[in-house]
Order: sequence, then structure tokens, then C-alpha cells
Amino acid sequence: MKQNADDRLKRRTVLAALLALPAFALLHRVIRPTASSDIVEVDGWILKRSDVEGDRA
Amino acid sequence: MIFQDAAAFQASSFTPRVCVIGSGPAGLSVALKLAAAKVPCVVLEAGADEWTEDAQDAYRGDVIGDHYFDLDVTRLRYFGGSSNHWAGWCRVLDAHDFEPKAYVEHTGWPIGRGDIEPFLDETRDVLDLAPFQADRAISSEFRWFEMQKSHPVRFREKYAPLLAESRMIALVLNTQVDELVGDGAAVTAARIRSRGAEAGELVAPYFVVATGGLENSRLLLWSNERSNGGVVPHARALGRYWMEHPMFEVGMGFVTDTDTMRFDAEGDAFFTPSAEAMAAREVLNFHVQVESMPYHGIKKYIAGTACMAPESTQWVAETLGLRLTCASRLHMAWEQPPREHNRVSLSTTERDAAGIPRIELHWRKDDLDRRTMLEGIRMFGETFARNDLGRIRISDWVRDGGDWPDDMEIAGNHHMGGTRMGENRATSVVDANCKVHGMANLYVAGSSVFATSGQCTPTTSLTALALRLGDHLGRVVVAGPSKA
Ligand SMILES: Cc1cc2nc3c(=O)[nH]c(=O)nc-3n(C[C@H](O)[C@H](O)[C@H](O)COP(=O)(O)OP(=O)(O)OC[C@H]3O[C@@H](n4cnc5c(N)ncnc54)[C@H](O)[C@@H]3O)c2cc1C
Repeated sequence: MKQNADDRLKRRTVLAALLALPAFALLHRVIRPTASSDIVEVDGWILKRSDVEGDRA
Repeated sequence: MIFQDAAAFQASSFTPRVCVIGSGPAGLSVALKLAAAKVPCVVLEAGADEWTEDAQDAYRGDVIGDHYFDLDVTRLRYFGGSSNHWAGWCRVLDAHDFEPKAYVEHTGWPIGRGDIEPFLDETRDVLDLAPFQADRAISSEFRWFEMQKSHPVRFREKYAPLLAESRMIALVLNTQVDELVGDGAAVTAARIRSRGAEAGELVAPYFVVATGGLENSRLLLWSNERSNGGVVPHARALGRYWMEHPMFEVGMGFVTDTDTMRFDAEGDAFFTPSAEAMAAREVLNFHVQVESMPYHGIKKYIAGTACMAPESTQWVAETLGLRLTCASRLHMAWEQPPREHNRVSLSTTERDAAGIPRIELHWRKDDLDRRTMLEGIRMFGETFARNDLGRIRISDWVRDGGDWPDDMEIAGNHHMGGTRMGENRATSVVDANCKVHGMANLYVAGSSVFATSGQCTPTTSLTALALRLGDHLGRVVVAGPSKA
């Protein structure tokens, strides 16, 4: 699929969206630690720890 | 020359130095090289120049173990073999695929990638491929690679005119080898059947079995049984260590860096791990195919995924909303461990019209398959997140160890092993030159000689190996029997 520039998700925009979601705190109970301290697994999502912990990470 | 049956061939004065059995990519690649070396060869083809129900029926068989394709659907028995329905996706095995992996038994080949490299230009000519683009590292653990989606060469269409004109290759259609006859040191003849009736014996100084990745084992098992071990004297590994590339949809993802993804014209991008990354998690080779979703399909897809992961997917979906132009499905295909118990055997109850036992394919994925799938996709997800390429979600069944789904791809129609290459006669059937251990004049071509499967589609590498075999055999024949 060829995508023009307008269609492309801007990395920063999406990351901002991911980081800004307070509802995600609800999911903390299903966080699975991984071999790496900077990565967590939440309900099957592989995320940066900073995605769910924000600035505390 | 193309003959329509054995009678027409026998009436000719053609005297072959090599008898090649099978006219698929492997058999024809060997024959092309022999012809280039001015070595006359006959190619015996069980089927006609088009599909027939009678010929195809010989491919029926049973699968014992995991869900797999019907054995008469996963291959074709006529001029050109399975090239008549292959998809043309191409890639060569990597150098590290030939190396042993300390953490998996029976890995490692007696040759390296350097041994097939001299034949890769010709392989591209045979398969009408463009030069492969170089791999590109996206992290220390993963590389983007080109899966070349070629216009699939149908060997029958491409090579029929050349074969019709050839003075060095005689293709004989409607003529199958029922069995090879051997004395434990050499094959002495091939018993043939043409248009459904026995047609005597064909004698040649050298034989190459190139009947496909399931049938090579069947023909040799049956021949060996009939010759009391005279065709494959070291038969412990015969039919065994059979492998496929299991293929499943293992998750979904949101891509945020489409530049790094380098989607191809169909919206796919392919990634494979480094040898070090595999070793760190003790998994085998694999690739992840990131299939980008067209915009109109995304909402439906998100809705479907939300049923499985309501909280998190809703969270992501609501936030990203209509900007989700880059959702993706994640497919994985991986290398299976070579296991002795995964094997082609001869049925004790079912026979085909020629009285030859049908195949019983014993095939089961095991813990290392699961581990490669789960740890492999986790590793990919980590690279994805850490490098801000996007975020992925692993499907529940993959994480929970659920049953293997039977409504997905399942596998690649890639039939590998059964006559694997190696130095140890207890765990392999052919040597580094594809010659059957202990036999002076019997060779095998095709992916049945793969010692391990790597992660990529097999036909590019098997064609290179067949060209290498043709080159080697051409020199052996020209030099005379003492050099065999
Ligand atoms: C649906 C599908 C899609 C595929 N897509 C891809 C892909 O995208 N990329 C890829 O790399 N691979 C793909 N493959 C696999 C590919 O088709 C095979 O790797 C390739 O055809 C194997 O070549 P071969 O010459 O070893 O065997 P075959 O193509 O099976 O040819 C064997 C020939 O031997 C003949 N024969 C059998 N028994 C006898 C006998 N006793 N006597 C005489 N002749 C005999 C048969 O009639 C046949 O013509 C696909 C396969 C399928 C089924």
C-alpha cells in the first residue's frame, strides 16, 4: 500500500496519544514484566514502560 | 526433445548419461546445467503437460498429527510440478541458516551459503528475479528484508519451447518411476510406468531423484524396501527430519514510522532477527510480515480486535480515531526444529493405482515451535516499541498457549527434509554434493535435502542447490566414473 504524506501517522502524534491516555492506568493490574526494564506487556500490548508510567518511568 | 510417453522415447536413439526423475524446478534446473555441460539427460515426468485426475491421484495420502493441507492439494503432479501453482515469493537462505545452533539438536549444514552463492545469478535467470535489495537493520536485533514477490515462473510455460528444441535434454511425459533398483552400491535401473502400464526398465549411469519434497522420500523409501536396502544403504534418517514453515496471524499493531517500515507495493514489510538475537532467546529463525491495512478496513478490524481486548484496544482506538491509517496485521512464519519423529512414511494399508504405498505424513509442532512464535513476536514488539516504530498487540491464543488455529494460513506448502544433507550417516541421507551416502550414482535434488529450513521460502535456495548439483554432476560425468 503506497501512502502519501497526509495519510501517514506522524510518529510524535501517535506517541503523544499513547502517552496521554489516563484510562490506561486501569490496565496496570495486567502488566507483565519483561526481560528488559524499559518494556512492559499489558493485555498483550508490548509497550515502553514510559507509555504507562509517563514521566515516572 | 519432448516425448509423450516411454514408447516414443524408447523408439528414439537417445542415450542418456543421466536420468532425472521429475520436471519441477529442481529437476529442470539440474537438466539445464547438464545440457550446458553437453551431458545428455532424460527427464522422466509422471504427469502430462496438463493436470489430470489420474496422475494427481497418486499424491493422495494421510497426515497424522497437526492439521495440515491435503497431500494432493499441496503439490501438483504434471510437467513443471508445483511451479504450476506456486506464488513466486523468493528469498535465499541466510549464511547463519547453514550454521549449527548450539541450543538446537541436528542444526547445521555440511556446506555454507558461500557454496551456493556462485549459482545465485543463474538462479535469478531461471526464476526471472530482479537483484535482491540489501537487508537493512532497523535495530540491533532485527533487519528489514526484501521478500521478492516475483511473477511466478511456470516451468512448463517457460521451458517447453527450449526443451522441444534441445538435443541434450529428452523430456518424457506420462512416465513415472515406480521404483529404483539398487545393489547397495549403485542404482542399476529405474522401473518405469507409462500411460498407466508397466514399461520396463531404464538404465543410465547416473540418477537424480527430483520428485518434490514429499515424494523424494516416498520414492526412495519404497525403492529401498523393494531392493532390501539396496538403494539407500544408510536409511536411518530417510523420510525423517521433515519440516514446514508454520504460518499464523499472531497479532496486530499500529505503525507510526512508515518510512522505516518500507512497505512493498502490496503493503507488506518483512523483518527477520539476527543470529545473536535468536541465540539470546534460544529460538529458531522466523520472519514477521507486517501487513498494513487499507483505511476502509481498519475500523472493522479494530472492532474485531476489541472483542478480544476490550479495554486496551478501545483505549488505543478511541485515542487514535480516524487517524488510524496504519493499523496492521502481524503474520509470522518460522523455522521448525528438525525432529526425527516428523517424517514421511509408507502407508501399510493404502496404495495408489500403481500399487505403490501412499504417504503417511507424521507432523507435529512442539514446544520449540511455540517458543519461537511467542518469544519471537515479543522480541519484535520490543524492537517496535523501543525504536518508536509503533506498538503491537500479541493475540490471546499466542500468549495463552491455546490450540493451533486451523482457520489461518497454517503453513507455507514448503516441504523440506526427508533426505537431509549431512556428514553423519545416521542423521542424514545425502552428502554435501547431494549424493546418497554409500551410493556411487544416486543424487537427490529439491528441498528434501535441506538440513534445516531457515525462515524463507524454499524454491530460490533449492534452485541454487539444484544448479550446483547439475554443475557438479556434469563435471563428474565428463570426468568418468572413477571420479564419482
Ligand atoms: C500453493 C503453493 C504456493 C507456493 N508458493 C511458494 C512461494 O511463493 N515461494 C517458494 O519458494 N515456494 C513456494 N511453493 C513451493 C514450491 O512450489 C516448491 O518448493 C517447488 O515447486 C519444489 O520444486 P521441486 O522441483 O522440488 O518439486 P515439484 O515442483 O513438486 O516437482 C516434482 C515433479 O516430479 C514429478 N514426479 C513426482 N513423482 C514422480 C515419479 N515417481 N516419476 C516421475 N516424475 C515424478 C511431479 O509430477 C512433478 O512434476 C509453493 C507451493 C504451493 C503448493
